[in-house]
Amino acid sequence: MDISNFYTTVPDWIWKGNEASDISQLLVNPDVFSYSVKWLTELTKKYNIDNIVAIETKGFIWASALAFSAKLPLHLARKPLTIPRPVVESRFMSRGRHYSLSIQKDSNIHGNVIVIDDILSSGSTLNAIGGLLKEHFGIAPANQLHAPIIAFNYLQGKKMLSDQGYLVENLITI
Amino acid sequence: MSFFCERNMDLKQVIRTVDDFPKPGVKFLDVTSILENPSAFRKTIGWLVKQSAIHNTDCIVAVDARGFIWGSALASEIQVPLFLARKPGKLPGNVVTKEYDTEYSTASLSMLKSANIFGNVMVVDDILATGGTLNAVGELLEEHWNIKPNKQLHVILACLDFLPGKKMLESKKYKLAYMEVY
Repeated sequence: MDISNFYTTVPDWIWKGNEASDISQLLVNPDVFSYSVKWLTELTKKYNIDNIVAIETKGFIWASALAFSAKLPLHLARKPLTIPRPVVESRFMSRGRHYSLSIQKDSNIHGNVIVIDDILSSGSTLNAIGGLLKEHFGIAPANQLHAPIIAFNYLQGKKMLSDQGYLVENLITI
Repeated sequence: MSFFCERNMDLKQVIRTVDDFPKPGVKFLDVTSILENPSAFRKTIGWLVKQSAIHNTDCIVAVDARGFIWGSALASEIQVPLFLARKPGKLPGNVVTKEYDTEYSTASLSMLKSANIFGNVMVVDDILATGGTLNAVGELLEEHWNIKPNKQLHVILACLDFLPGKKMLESKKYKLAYMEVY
């Protein structure tokens, strides 16, 4: 099933000349959404995954459906001040802006981990989470599968992550 | 863990309470602790699936951000369209927006104007406190998609009974279902 046509863009949003990603059609078509969740579920079997990490906010959408389907623990990488417990934090730059993501410090993240986000562009977000998983939870890059639904080939994010030893799989390539 | 254990699991034992978050004096219900426990998470989704069948659900609206977690897993399981109610500036394109008061501040939620929402709608969020968030989504659904309150089932994992949200939503004739009461 080729679902790439269900990824659409909105021209000139938020600023003129920018083409914004729109994932809504991937969600409103149940067959398409199920297909993407099934793809993720197969990945968890193929890579013997033990834990899921979801990136706020749109990563939550696929990761939670996967957690239910694969019966695996789900951990959240969240924006500042949203986790009510001690956290480990990664600050990073993406497209010239500062971002921060945190994971609860005492999360029981172990073994092979799948990291879920909606889109892989430059790779800075997934790289930041990869670093956190390595430094604070001892998960080597070779034990991390980064699985965005969509990857922008022209931005080389997938190559950058692969070069650092992370495993990377995506369903739609743009 | 077996189905038997899932069914008999006490969710209140799994949901964490955190004092003084996000501000002093507030006891915060951290439902994300459910996610670390696959049996507990499956129990919540199983309950949502039951509610969706009772409501004969055609569409799901998930509320940013923790509502996405339960709304999307449910949508995937029961195979109905999933729509997002998002914080300001997140959805690309033309949106409809509603401002509201929360327990701590004022906020707003937007939905894509072009969304094809119809029939019996289930609105999914994690906690019901003052009801401002769910009421905002409810009003958006009625004003822009003509989904009357009796066609909207608002589902939450935990309802804070000492706050006025439950009574307020019921007085507006929304259908309401919750797993746990605090």
